[in-house]
Amino acid sequence: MAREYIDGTEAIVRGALHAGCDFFAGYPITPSSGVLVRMMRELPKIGGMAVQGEDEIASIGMCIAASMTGRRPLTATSGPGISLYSENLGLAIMGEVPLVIINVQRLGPATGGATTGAEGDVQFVQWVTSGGLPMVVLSPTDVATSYWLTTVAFRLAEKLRIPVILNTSKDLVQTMETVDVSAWRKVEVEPRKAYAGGAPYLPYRFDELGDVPEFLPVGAEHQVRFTTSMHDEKGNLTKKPAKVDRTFRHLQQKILACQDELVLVDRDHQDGALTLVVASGVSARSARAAVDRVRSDGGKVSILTVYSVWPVPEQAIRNAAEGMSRIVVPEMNVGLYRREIERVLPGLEVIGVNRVDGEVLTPGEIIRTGRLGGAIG
Amino acid sequence: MSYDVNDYLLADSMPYPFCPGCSHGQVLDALGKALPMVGVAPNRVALVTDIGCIGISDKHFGMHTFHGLHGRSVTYASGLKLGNPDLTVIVLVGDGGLGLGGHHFLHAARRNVDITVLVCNNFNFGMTGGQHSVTTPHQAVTATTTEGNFEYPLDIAGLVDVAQGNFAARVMFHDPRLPDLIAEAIRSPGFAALDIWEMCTAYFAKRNKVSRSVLEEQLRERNLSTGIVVRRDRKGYVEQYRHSLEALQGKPLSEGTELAAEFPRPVYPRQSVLIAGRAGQKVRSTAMILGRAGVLSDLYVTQRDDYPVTVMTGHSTAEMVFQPDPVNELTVDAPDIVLITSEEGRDVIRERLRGLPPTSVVYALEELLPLDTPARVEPIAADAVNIQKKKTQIVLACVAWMAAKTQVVSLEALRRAAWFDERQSIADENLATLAEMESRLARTR
Repeated sequence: MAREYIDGTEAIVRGALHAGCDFFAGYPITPSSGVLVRMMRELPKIGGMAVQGEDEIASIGMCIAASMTGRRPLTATSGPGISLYSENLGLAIMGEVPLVIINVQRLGPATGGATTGAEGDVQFVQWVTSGGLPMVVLSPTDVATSYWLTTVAFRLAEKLRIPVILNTSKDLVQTMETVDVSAWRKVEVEPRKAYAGGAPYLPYRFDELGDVPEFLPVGAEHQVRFTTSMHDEKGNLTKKPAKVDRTFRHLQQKILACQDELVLVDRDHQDGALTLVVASGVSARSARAAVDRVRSDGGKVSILTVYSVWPVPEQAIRNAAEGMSRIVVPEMNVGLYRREIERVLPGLEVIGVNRVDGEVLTPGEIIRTGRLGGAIG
Repeated sequence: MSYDVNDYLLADSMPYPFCPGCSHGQVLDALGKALPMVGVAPNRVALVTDIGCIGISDKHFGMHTFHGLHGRSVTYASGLKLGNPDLTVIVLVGDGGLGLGGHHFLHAARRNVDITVLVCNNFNFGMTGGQHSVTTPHQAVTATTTEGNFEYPLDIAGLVDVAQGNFAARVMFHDPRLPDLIAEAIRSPGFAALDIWEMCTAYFAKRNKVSRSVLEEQLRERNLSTGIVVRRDRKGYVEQYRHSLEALQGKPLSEGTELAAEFPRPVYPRQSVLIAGRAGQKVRSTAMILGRAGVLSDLYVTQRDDYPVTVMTGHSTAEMVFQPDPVNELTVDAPDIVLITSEEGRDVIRERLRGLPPTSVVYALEELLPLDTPARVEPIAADAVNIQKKKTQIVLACVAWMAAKTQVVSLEALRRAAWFDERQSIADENLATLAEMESRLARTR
């Protein structure tokens, strides 16, 4: 037992540093500025580089290029900054750039409420860029999972050579809580699969569609070509339909081929329950408290906490919903993830518990609106 | 080891894909000649391009190449240089990309990032059909300025000057000095840019007279000259970074402070506390002391803060839950204890005060009474929590008051928690306040 009293920001920064992060660029924006401030202070200690960019576009641009020199970069922002990251997130997908992005959700749209919490970016972060290739998005529920999922984000980013978003929120990064650091989960981040052959190095070569190309940093002995445009295996522009198709399907397939690692849920099933709560983010916390209260009052209810929000862990949701007649989805938005639950579980009654006033859902209102109190069997 | 042009420009990639008469090829040839003069190994050079005609030239080079988004090449160049400071980083950008990414150009110059930016300035957007750009001359005709451009052109080298970058030169594409100037720019530490005036035969030259004499006339009219126009010797960004942050290198990372269960756990299933005060009263940091006191008392604690976008003004609240097992409720319907230390705090929780049950207790500075609440209200006399009239100590004094009247945490745990502050002077001030409050409370008991 090693108890500390820290907030989600500190957990993210420690997770990043323990995952081998050695480059940071970001621009101040509430409520994510704490990550920038801490990284600027911490990275020089380990010989890393931290920069405050002139804006969000420059910040993510620097991270992307640093990643291609072999660094393990991190950037952090909030919704308005994600809007500015959008085009470069597409570049990172196309160029196969490992990069971890922290999105600290605040109330939107636009400037919205800088110090007001929300979970309104849930759909936005998945379809954040043009071209129709979705992002991998992880969502913590507390300080401990902020740490764990930051290390998972780095692992997936490096392994699959993709940008990964950790989608957290104001009420998670700024909330202080008791944590037992000795019980924290962490995953190992393996180095990118390196190219060991001779020249010429084909930067975008892969055998199977689901394979990840071998990496050489810009600055390696052999020439490295990086491109954000549709390319062939040499990294040269192409519009030949067969090559375009192969590159495009590869970008999608390498993520699908890693499905096992991408299903991160916590299933808490209660025998006899007919109601299932499906939740993520800070709302999952209130939902858990609601479930505990219902159970201690003799009610029956199950809960599925979703950490890997995108791609949607469809099979895990179906498994958890087996035998259930009602699904309750609490969220601090107008019902964004509920759309996915309705899609995955057609025919079931899906009830949203939603708040868009900046306040965290209380367990009481999840019980009342979700009618969990009556969920006896 | 010495290199020749073929080590950088790939003979088998020729010819260039540019329009007949376009001057881009001459600039690329000049870059090919300049690199052997600098003598840097091809695999130590990264060439960054973005969108526009000049952006498709990377395939002709044998160095590392990075092709990115329109206008953002300077950001990638900066990232490559900071990611690997041993690289020589060169950007090829058009006047279109320069305009779009002007902000990045300006700040790379200001930071004096050690990169070289070659602006291939042909006064219009070639790839998209000859629209006007930020460097299109006044009165020039383009696809979007059919009656003559009424905007005025940007002077790229002048931009470097105002941004305090180290090196800038202005040069015509056919100037025999071009390879030397490129080599000079690459060798120059810090930020370097070349404004290379070019010829777009597909669009600009069809709609406007462009000849050597016309370009020279342009220079005279705008009171500009060719050759090196900016030269400074400020330290480059990489050296500045290393120098100014050397003191941090090798220091241990900030890990958290372990808080052992030093005090007996108070006996209750749960206590929730809402502190409502004003920004600048140290609500958040005082709540952290209270939270640490909880952890030191073998409790799980959460602390959710709220404040407006303003700093040092407006409300500041901290909502806390203390219990023996992990807490999931960051917010409760009705806090057990409310502590009000300012008007702003009182007003922002007005609705919640009305909804409290009679079992809740509200401790409030007496000047803030009366309160509209069914809860029990316990006034705190101003004198009781006045610590040398310090506004920053009032919340801590009130928290000590509350601790003495409730079971949430003990005064001893609070004092121990205050000791953990990273900054010694702040810890000392807080400890003095707590000592003073303890002695006052002991007298009134």
